Amino acid sequence: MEMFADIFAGLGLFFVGVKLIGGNLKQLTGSWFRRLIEAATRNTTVSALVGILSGALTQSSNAITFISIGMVTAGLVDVGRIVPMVIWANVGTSALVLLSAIDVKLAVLFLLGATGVAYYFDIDRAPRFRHVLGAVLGLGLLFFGLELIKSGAMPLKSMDAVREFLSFAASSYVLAFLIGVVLTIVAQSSATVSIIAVTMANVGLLTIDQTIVVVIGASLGSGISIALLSTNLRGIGRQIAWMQVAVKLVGVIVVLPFFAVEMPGHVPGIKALVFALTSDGATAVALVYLLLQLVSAVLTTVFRDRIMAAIMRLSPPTDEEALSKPRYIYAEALDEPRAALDLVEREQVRLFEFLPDIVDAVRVDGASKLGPDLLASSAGSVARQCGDFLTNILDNNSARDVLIDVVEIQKRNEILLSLIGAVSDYVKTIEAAGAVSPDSKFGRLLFALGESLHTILAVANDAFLHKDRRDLDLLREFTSDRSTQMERVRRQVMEVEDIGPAEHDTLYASTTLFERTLWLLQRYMSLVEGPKAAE
Amino acid sequence: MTETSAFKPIKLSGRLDTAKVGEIETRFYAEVGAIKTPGAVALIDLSEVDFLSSLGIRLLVTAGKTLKQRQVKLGVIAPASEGVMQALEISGLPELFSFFESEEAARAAL
Repeated sequence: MEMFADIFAGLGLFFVGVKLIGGNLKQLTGSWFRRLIEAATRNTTVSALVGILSGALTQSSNAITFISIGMVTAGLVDVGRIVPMVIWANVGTSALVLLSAIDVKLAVLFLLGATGVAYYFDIDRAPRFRHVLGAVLGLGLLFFGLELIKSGAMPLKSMDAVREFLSFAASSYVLAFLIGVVLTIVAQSSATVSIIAVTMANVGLLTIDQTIVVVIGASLGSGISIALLSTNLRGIGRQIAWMQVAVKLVGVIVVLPFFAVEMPGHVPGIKALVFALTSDGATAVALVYLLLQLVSAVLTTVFRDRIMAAIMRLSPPTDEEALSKPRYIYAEALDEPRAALDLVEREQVRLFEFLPDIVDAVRVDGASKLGPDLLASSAGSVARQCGDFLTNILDNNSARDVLIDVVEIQKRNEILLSLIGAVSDYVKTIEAAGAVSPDSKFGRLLFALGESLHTILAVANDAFLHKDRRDLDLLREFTSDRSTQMERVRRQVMEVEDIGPAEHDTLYASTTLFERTLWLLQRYMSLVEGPKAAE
Repeated sequence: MTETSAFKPIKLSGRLDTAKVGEIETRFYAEVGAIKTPGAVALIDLSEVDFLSSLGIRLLVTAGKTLKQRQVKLGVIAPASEGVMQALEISGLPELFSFFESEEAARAAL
């Protein structure tokens, strides 16, 4: 009974360790991890190296995959640039598997002791050290848990029932493979299952061949687990998830046949290769894990474009992803601040195309097939990406003239975001009002507001796109102060018709938002043309 | 549905929605384009328009822009429809062109 309690407690500590490491590293890595990924994705080799480092730190390719999905869907990085990181993160996860094969008991005990002393002296209360200490404690508990499992499992191999089960399992590699697959789907980490398998091999509970098969099965299990987790994803998010599935599959498809041929003992293969490097069985299994990840990463990198093209056909970007993708700005342009600013300006002008289409949703004659929420969120996303891009230009340059221009274009960006918000709120207000009789004064006013707003936004789009003097003059006329006019039309409706509180709210909200949109357009124009031209 | 000369009004009527504007715009712009003499008077008659979409408003805006460039005076005969007139007012068109109740009033003023 004590033996099972040891194994159970060991597993418990192991899982607590995994959680502590992941949780604390996530806190620790928040802002710098994001900056690191943004910098890393500018170069394929660096992206792969950051992938290895991230995999080693988080010990979870799933975590890296889903963090990457989050960053790409948030528009922080491009899918093509983050893929090398996702692929090579798997190699990083080998670090802990290799460590688990080595006898680190003494080091682990000292580590736990030192961590405890640090907690006793309240070092964890200092914000700088809190998460570092938490992660170190996690590492200590993880390895201490493994030691408990090892010592608890030691007597197992002399038990008859266990021997019988193991000899049955040994007779069926398919069973060992399936155990690896299923345990990984449950544990959500092939590294975790592989570490436990290596620990079992260390105490002689599993043969080396069985353990290798479990490790290969674990890799497939990891792929299946990511595929299952990605079922609710669409577009680019699913592309990244499927790339990770492809990495896992490639490794299994290539390595498994080599091992299957080698097992009967006729042809030297993977096992022979790792035993040429080490005589220790557990280390040899850990090396197989590393080899599996390396083979997957190298092959997927070589065929990356083809695999990605196939995945893109299976999961094309969603409408929102396609619309949220900047057309002009790209990371490399940051090296040339002047050119980068021109690109942001072009991107900002492009956003004016979205505005009349958003209003289309509440027009009798509206032609846009895309919903207003989709258009507004996509336009907002591109504007925010412009904002991040401008911040990067600021971070990379100190030339005074560049800084002044960046600040000006940042102001425009803020107005653009407010414009998108105002137009979107106008549409929501009209939608919430429901059906209003077109023959009533109120109905006629709403119709007039919608058509007028659409006209003015379309004129603004033409004016900023072509920078034609006549169009800009026209836009200045259109966006002149409308407060008196709006007050008059509100009074006209209220004098003639007995409208309820809901209609009253709609009347005020729609006219105020119309007025606000025009005022924002006027402000944007004065920033584009300079204050003198606006006078 | 439209008749034209430098002195005769360009008449638009009925429902000026996206489809209708698509049908008439080439002919409308041709009629507007034919008025080239600086100082001439062009009239666009909207009195029988009972529905005016954004595209219809832009048709007028573009015509106004072209005529202004040629120094042609533009007068618009106001629509009888209150809804259409309100759409033109809220768009700010009365700030750009002169609106009149009838052809006679337009000719007398321009």
